[in-house]
Amino acid sequence: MTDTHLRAGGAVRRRPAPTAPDAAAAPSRIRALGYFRGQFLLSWRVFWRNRRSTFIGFLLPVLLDLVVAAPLRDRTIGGVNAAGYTTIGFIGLAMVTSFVNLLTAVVSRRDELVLKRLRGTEVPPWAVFAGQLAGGAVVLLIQTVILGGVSVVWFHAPPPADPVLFLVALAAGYLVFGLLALALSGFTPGTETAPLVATPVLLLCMFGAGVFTPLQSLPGPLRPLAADLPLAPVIKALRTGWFGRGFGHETWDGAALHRLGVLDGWQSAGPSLLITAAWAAAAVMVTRRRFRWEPRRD
Amino acid sequence: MPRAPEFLHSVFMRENPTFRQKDRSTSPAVDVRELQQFYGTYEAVRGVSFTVARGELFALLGTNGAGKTTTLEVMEGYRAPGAGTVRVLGLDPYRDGPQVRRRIGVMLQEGGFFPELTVRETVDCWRGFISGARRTREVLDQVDLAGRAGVRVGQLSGGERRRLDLALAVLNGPELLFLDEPTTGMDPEARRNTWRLVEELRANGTTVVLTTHYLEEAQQLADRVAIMTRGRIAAAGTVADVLSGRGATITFRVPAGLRADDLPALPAPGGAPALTGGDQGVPRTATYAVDRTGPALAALHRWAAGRDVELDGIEVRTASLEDVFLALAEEGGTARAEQTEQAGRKAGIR
Repeated sequence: MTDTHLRAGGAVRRRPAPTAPDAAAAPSRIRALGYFRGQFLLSWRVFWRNRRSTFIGFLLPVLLDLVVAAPLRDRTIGGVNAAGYTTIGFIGLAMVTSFVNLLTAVVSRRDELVLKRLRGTEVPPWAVFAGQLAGGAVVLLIQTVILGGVSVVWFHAPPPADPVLFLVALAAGYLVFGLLALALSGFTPGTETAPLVATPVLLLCMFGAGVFTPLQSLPGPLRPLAADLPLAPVIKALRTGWFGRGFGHETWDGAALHRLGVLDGWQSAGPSLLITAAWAAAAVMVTRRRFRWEPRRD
Repeated sequence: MPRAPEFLHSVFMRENPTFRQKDRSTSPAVDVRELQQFYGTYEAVRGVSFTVARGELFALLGTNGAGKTTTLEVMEGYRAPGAGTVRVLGLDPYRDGPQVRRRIGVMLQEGGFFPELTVRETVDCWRGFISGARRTREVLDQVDLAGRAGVRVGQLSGGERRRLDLALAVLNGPELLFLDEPTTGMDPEARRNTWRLVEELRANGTTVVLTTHYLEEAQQLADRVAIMTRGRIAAAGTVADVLSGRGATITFRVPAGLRADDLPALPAPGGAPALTGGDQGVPRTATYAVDRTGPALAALHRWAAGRDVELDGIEVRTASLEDVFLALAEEGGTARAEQTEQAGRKAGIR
């Protein structure tokens, strides 16, 4: 009986002897790409296999948009289609759900010692992070295409006025929330406490960043605060990119906003992008200090 | 007579050019000097030194909390040495992380998997993370998981997870393999198969450093062992080295009609026997702990002949690794008790 085991194990083959250029000498750029690709495929596969991550990370913002934005089809705000305006808010919110997802994934993998095991391979840490972030980025792109398509086809919103600005804002926003997830994982004790960290951020962003109602609807003293939180500037820049108007002070019953030329659009979005960059820098600093690969030892 | 793996080992030494080539390098596989490791103010490892030669199987034994895993994790590059130096394949495992990891295999005491992936997918993923990976099928066959390739990792038993762990550790055909309690949670059959796999790897020139609770495992596999208690190495050497000087025990049934006072005292350090069983001064068995069995047995035989009694069921047992281990653990325990007492006294003075 025992002998049926290890059938092929009789010959344990070792790596071939290192003839002149060892595998280790392969161009490091190709090798690095391989690590990145491996990490990306891993996080991509695991994302779609896990019902919780598929629901929160993919379905939630799309479903919410269909429910909340669709009734606004015939209204306008700041001179643009209100359903389209709200849809951009939900594209912003999709970044926050990626954040929730990433935070939960990082913390639970740390607790389950998956990160420790990954770290025991030759894969450099940046490839682990980059692969994980890239997986979420592709999900966000798919959500953006779906929401943008619904907005144009069903809500009759216009197509993006400045696609480049829109994509830059999308990338910057996603990066900030991805980095924030890595940073906040260091403050999250364990898997059970991850929702305690993630949910306040989600709620704050959902109601305090102008997702489905302009910032001007908030009580006066809260407005400047909300405008400096990470999501509000991102959504503002996304809207400017999509509609080509200078958002920021729009209200439900206010006048139509001025149309902006391309350069004016970038100029209008500039401060938002700077705030976003500041958040990203802060998140990187905190991550460097607080990120843990293993659960804390008692 | 050499054991089978040693025989294979010598065959490979002669016939395997890969091995010869690796063997020529002069640095030992592992060189640990005066390693100290702290958790806060607690000193988990207190000045440990040892080397592991290439091709050797070295076992680190010890009770829970003895510092085995901490020592192993420094060698694996998970943490920088608190003090002292550690070289693995001639490199600094912490600073030269990726370079070292390309050449070693690590089986953690406990390492997570993605429960969402199947066994095959897990190995396939891992192949992307290492250079010179072997074929998935080949590795799964080797750890006897080929039949479970399509099963999600979340559904594996504890022993199967250990085998998947082992599969990932040997995926790159490592020069040096670290195994932290590799057979914990395995059934006896899986354990035997794991031992065989480890012996094959070593026969092929792989250096193996393992920790274990199972002394039988160390006795069967290891060229050399080190026993750790409370952050220090209490005994080290070949199994024979560690056992030598630990003496033997002689046990026999006390002949009917004899009382405790009738039993002989052997020349020191055997001395008086330990008596068990029976009652009212009439013991059932006598056990002598002796340094040398020859003189002790001769003395007992003379005594038995003089009294004209039998030495029924006489048993001579040399010390096992387990005896040594328990003796050292006990010494450690005594030392700890004394330390606690001292601390208590100090606290009292204050």
